[in-house]
Amino acid sequence: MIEPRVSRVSRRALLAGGAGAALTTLLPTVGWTAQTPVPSLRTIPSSGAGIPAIGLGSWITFNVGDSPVLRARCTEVMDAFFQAGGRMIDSSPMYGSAQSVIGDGLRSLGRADTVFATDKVWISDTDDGPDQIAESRALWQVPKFDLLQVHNLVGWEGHLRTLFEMKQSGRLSYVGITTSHGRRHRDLAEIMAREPIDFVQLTYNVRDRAAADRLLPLAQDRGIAVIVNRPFRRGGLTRPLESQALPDWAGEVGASTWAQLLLKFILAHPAVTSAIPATTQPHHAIENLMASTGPMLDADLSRRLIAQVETLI
Amino acid sequence: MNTWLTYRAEDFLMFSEPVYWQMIQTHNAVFWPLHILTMLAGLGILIVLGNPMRFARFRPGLLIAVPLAACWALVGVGFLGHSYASINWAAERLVPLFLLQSALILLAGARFGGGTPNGISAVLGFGLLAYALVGHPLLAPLAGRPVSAAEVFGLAPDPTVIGTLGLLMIARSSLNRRTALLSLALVIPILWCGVSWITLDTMDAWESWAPAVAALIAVIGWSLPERSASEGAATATRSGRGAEKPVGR
Ligand SMILES: NC(=O)c1ccc[n+]([C@@H]2O[C@H](COP(=O)([O-])OP(=O)(O)OC[C@H]3O[C@@H](n4cnc5c(N)ncnc54)[C@H](OP(=O)(O)O)[C@@H]3O)[C@@H](O)[C@H]2O)c1
Repeated sequence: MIEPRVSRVSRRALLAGGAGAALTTLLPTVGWTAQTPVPSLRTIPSSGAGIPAIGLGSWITFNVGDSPVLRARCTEVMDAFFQAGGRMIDSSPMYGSAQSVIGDGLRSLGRADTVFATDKVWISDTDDGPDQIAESRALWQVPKFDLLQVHNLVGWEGHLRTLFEMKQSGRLSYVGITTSHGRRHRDLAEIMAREPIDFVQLTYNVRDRAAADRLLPLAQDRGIAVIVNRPFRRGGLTRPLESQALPDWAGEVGASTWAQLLLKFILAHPAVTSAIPATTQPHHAIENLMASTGPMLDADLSRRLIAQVETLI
Repeated sequence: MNTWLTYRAEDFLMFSEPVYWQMIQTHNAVFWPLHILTMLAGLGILIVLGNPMRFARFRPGLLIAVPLAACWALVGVGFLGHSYASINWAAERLVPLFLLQSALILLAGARFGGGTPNGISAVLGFGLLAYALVGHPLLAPLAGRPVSAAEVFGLAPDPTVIGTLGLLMIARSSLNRRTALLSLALVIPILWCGVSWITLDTMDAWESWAPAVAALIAVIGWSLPERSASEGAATATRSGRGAEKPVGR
């Protein structure tokens, strides 16, 4: 077992593995209490600031349209996430109503100051980037974004210029770029080597490990923070594993569910700053955050997890 | 390589299946009680199509086309431009296509004289239209969703499109031939069936078979040779009762 690379971690967080695991099974009924462990923080290399190692995605899960019931449910997810110590929420203009759902949730929870607002610019005509960003910010109802990323490298040269200008003038804290599904890794590597970006977002999970070959080491070398998307392959990993027994060693790393094991695999990579699972369930949001507490998988357990998942899915 | 080429259908699916059905339910609540009108319109279309000659005095083509064109416009603006757009930013871009289809239907209706429908084409067409009006709305309760989430002809795209495919096949059998205008009016409904099938299938919704099968039936029916497609209708046409009339008549 290896300890996660943490910068500012509470003592409780380090002690929390087993307690957190037991707690997650109770959370749906007992709710969140102040005694529960806080998620571990990881350092953003370009600033030295800490950020919880688990964030919250919003693709599909938060695109619920106008339904008041479903919007309220998303607010409950955000509430649970914040109460358990979460901060980073990731969205994009590509995600339908997700941005406005997040904005309404932040306002009703009074969490505009807590959130590490992470959004994207996604438009082919780079001249339209600033307008899209302004529209996104209005939907989020935040004074400014913490991190803006060029979504899937669309128009990346022009958009990066816009984002660097925003950062320069204090209207943005961090600049990043995203990809997913293992797409365009070569282009991404070139951008990472050349451009002074703060964050890169990519897919890395127990089944999609291509990023570990080149991109993750490169991020470490260049001091670029890494956000991991699709940690559960949009449920393609968690759903089939749900009915399977956990490996007998899961307790050793304080994992009480497959989801936590999968996240502990991701967070075990020293280049990873944060993973951003998406969920519609408040107790899953907490369970996921808790995966960042306690030990992560060491090289041997990671190999065993890979082998086990390969036989099960 | 162009970034857009690296996207797959799954990447564009921005909502889950429960959210999609919830959106339909909200759409129904917003537009209630228009459902009664659109269903009556569908029923009226079915009756006129059954024997257009009985309505010869009222220009049966327009009797059919006006309510159907209104349904397409309503689905375009109300469903795509309003309800569906709330979870799918691409929906709004399809509104002009639905309005174009509405115009095409009006144009085809103005030119339609109408003979007695007959042959395989008519059977398939009436089957599709009846399914669109009665069968498709039942999918929601069959799948365990509330009746208030039913997809209704004239308000939801799938039954409207499937009904239109049926209607075009009936019109073809009445005229005893595939006119260019009717063939053109088939394009957008078939395209929508493709879009709907991909969307539902990507969401793993079993209902995806409905638009796929409807489109398949329409394509097969449309490619049947004239004689087998409209056998019997020829009699009506030869006797001068079922001819396409010039535009603006
Ligand atoms: N190019 C890009 O920039 C890009 C591309 C893809 C994704 N992303 C970002 O990455 C985020 C995450 O990726 P993703 O949306 O593909 O999905 P994901 O996080 O890999 O998987 C989400 C699925 O996992 C399930 N889940 C979450 N926590 C769980 C738990 N504790 N136990 C069991 N199941 C659990 C959820 O179901 P429940 O609702 O039941 O919990 C949901 O169906 C996105 O939301 C988005 O913000 C970015």
